Amino acid sequence: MNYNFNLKKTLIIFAHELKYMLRDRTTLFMMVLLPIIIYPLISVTSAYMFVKSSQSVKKSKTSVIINRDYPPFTDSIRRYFAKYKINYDIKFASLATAEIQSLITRNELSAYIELAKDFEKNIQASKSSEITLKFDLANDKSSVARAEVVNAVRNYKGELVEGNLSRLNISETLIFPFDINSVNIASPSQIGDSLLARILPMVIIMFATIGAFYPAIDVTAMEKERGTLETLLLAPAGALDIMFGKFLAVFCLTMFSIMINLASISLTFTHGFFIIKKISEASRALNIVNFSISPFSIIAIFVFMVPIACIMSALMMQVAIFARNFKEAQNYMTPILLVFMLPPMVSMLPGYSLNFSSALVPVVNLTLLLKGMLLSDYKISLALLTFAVNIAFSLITLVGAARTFASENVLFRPSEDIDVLYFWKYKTLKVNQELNIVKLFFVFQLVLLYYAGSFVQTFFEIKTGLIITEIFFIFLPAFIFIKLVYGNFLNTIEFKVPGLKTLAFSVFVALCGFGFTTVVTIFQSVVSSPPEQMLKQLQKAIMADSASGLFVIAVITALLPAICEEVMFRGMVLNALVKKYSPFYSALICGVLFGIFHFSFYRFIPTAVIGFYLSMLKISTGSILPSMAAHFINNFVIVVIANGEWYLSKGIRPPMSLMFLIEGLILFSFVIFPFVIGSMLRKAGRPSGAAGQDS
Amino acid sequence: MLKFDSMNPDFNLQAPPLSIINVSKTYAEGSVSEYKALRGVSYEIKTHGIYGLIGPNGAGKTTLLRVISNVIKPDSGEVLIYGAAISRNPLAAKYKIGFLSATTGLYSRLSPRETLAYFGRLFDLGEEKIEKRIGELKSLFEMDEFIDKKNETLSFGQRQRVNIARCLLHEPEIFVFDEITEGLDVMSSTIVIKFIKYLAEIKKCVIFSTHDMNLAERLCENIIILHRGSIIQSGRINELKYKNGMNGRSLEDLFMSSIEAKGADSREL
Repeated sequence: MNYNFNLKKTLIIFAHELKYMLRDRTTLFMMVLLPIIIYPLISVTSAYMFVKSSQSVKKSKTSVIINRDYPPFTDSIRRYFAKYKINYDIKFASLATAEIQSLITRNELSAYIELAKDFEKNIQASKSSEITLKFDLANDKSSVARAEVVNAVRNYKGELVEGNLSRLNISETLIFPFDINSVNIASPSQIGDSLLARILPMVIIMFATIGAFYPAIDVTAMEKERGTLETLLLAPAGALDIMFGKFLAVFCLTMFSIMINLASISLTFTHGFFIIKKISEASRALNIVNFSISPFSIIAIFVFMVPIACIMSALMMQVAIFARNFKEAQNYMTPILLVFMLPPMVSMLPGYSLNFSSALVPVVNLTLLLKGMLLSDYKISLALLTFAVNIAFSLITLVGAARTFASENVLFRPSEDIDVLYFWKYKTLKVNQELNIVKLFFVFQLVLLYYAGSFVQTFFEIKTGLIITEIFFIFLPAFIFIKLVYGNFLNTIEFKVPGLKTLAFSVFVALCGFGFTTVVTIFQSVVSSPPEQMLKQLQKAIMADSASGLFVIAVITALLPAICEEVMFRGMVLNALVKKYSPFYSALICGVLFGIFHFSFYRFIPTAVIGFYLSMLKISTGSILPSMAAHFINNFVIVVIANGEWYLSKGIRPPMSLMFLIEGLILFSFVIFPFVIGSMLRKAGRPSGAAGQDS
Repeated sequence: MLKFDSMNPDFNLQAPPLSIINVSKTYAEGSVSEYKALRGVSYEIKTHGIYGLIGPNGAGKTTLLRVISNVIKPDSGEVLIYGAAISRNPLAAKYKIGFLSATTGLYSRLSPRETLAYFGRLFDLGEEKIEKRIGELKSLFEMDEFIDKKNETLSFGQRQRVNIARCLLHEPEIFVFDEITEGLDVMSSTIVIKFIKYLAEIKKCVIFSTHDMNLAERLCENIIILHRGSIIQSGRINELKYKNGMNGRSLEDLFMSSIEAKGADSREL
């Protein structure tokens, strides 16, 4: 790799890329025109529509029907409506519910008031009586009328009470000792700030992502698609000059896009709504909101976006350079888009604010900080930490992008002209194709497990659900896949009976691995405790009420997974991985996939570790049985300990010496585990005869 | 053409223009998909002229040409340009080489003039020199009518001319062409052939790969036959025919018989 850096060449490439991208209409549209048009358009029209529609509901004249005229009541209602300028006709008719409904749907009626039989008589005699109000809450006008009619009737009730009290010479305060006043003390601009604080960080980051998207593809994958990459590499410019020149161009465009979005959004909020307020003086909702963004916040947002734009540009370029054309690049970039688009949603949620641990997460920290800044509620120390963390991440992504650019394997990736969806048609597969097919199938099984598995486990009892999942969603698909692609099932999964020594070794590895994952889990629970729900679920699955129950549970949660999951991971997945990657990397990838497969954030690290050492076990012994045995022992120990813990909670205590022994053993195995892995690595490193073949 | 050599003192114009010394290249090393593209290839181009590189698909032609033009690095072995190892000063070697392949494209939103100016800057030509070279190349390849149009509006033949002009821009000594006549119509390939002949006339080295035996026979004095990553025959066409007892037969016959002889050997390996 040549890391000579030539500023002049970098600037030549930068200038070229910038000019070239600014000539692209799509880029220009997404970057300049869209933000300029879209914010004013969306916000002004939606606000306008909102005001208009609420006005139209109020303005249009509808009626309220009372089943009969009782002048004191009717007059009170009329007075109330007149006082608050509520424009309802009051009519009299006795209607059945069906008739009310049809009148409401025809917009001839908004509410129906039904005075009980003998209402007049009971009121005069100061006896209890009843008024029934009927509305159609599915109808807009009727639901608007509801609050007003209820208030009018309450008002009548108040008048009655007042009248009665004054007749009896009783002070009003005896019945109404206090009034409730809820007063909104937030100034219109404070409400505006809180709204902005939720929306602005998200929108800015989202549009920055979109701003970086096309340029990142344009300077990388498109260069391959056009066939200009080779000519560029033939020019006397180093990989670093090329990468950095391109990066600068993408970065500048991203910052430019942020600037335009920021300007457009702040102008829309500060001036756009002002226009609407003028249009509709009557809108009470908009008068309580006042948007203002200080120039200081705008500059601060801009400065804090610098490292984020840097991370975005470098990461997107690094991913897009793997693609051979625009379409491929779009596919590869989708996960990256999600990485940037989802965290900003956090700022929309109430109650989340920046603290020490969230300041360590790039992108998320910025959205929380921006939210805090707009609410004038943030600490300088956390702001600086956020900035530092993002700068550090941006440097890491830059180095990553530079390394990717210097790799000729990435720049001249051969075309894989095989259609992975029709894999069974091909007699002999190349390793990359085989790996792609296995990856695809793994994703398929993941989706199957997620939907079908969770359905089955809620539909059936949890134990039955586990059995069905293991056999039909894990073992069977893997079995069919291996049969289709490789033919011989047992040979492919390397079902070979190991020697006694190997078996003893795998038991030892499993116990060490258990100790290691236990310590890891404890560490993890210190950092963040697992959700209660998950623990209960787990307990329900592995708790036995009798000795025979323990046996059944051992079969379901230890033996069955040991066979089914091993066939899928160590049989199918690892089999394809080792053909391409070194033993260590294969085991690592297989472990991570195994971790993902457990669909739990809290169990990811322990299960990935287990997946890793089970893979190492298979690679180093050349047989699947040791990893099956180790998997069984790991799960079995968990079942035994969980049941043991239950006895503990019942107050049955084993001798202290035994407890110390167990804890000691766990710590011992934690320490020794890396050495065990090391020994397996050395064993796996020896040639097994599979390497060195020509395709 | 001495002006670049003041920049690159490594070059010795008395040395052979191009020496390939025991070059090997393996893709995806260490995995089952491992593929040995070049196995210890050695060859020396002593004087200017046209050198044809022929061989069946997957013989390693593109890999060899890419190694020569320093786009990819060999696992072992060395390429010398005028006596200077390209691994020692990879950027300097690029000034001496002009490369063109069938897949070479153009920046669609630039004009031919802008394209040439961009590469001129990358090759440190200086604005005045760039201006002058563009003028020369414009008249040489009759590009007046489209020099300021966008590349995306140009016809295939016009694009080909722009690409060739780009390749000549920095006045390299060694031209490396990877199957540039592939898929061209008669008109376009005539331009390319004329261009290759022109380069030989002005005493440059041209090494080009092709599947077209007739073209190779017409253009080249020297031929290199590559098979499974090794050179199986090389030298003047006539001498090779004589050596193989194929006087009066075509290059295609010579090629087929060499490949078949080797094919039988490698099956035993």
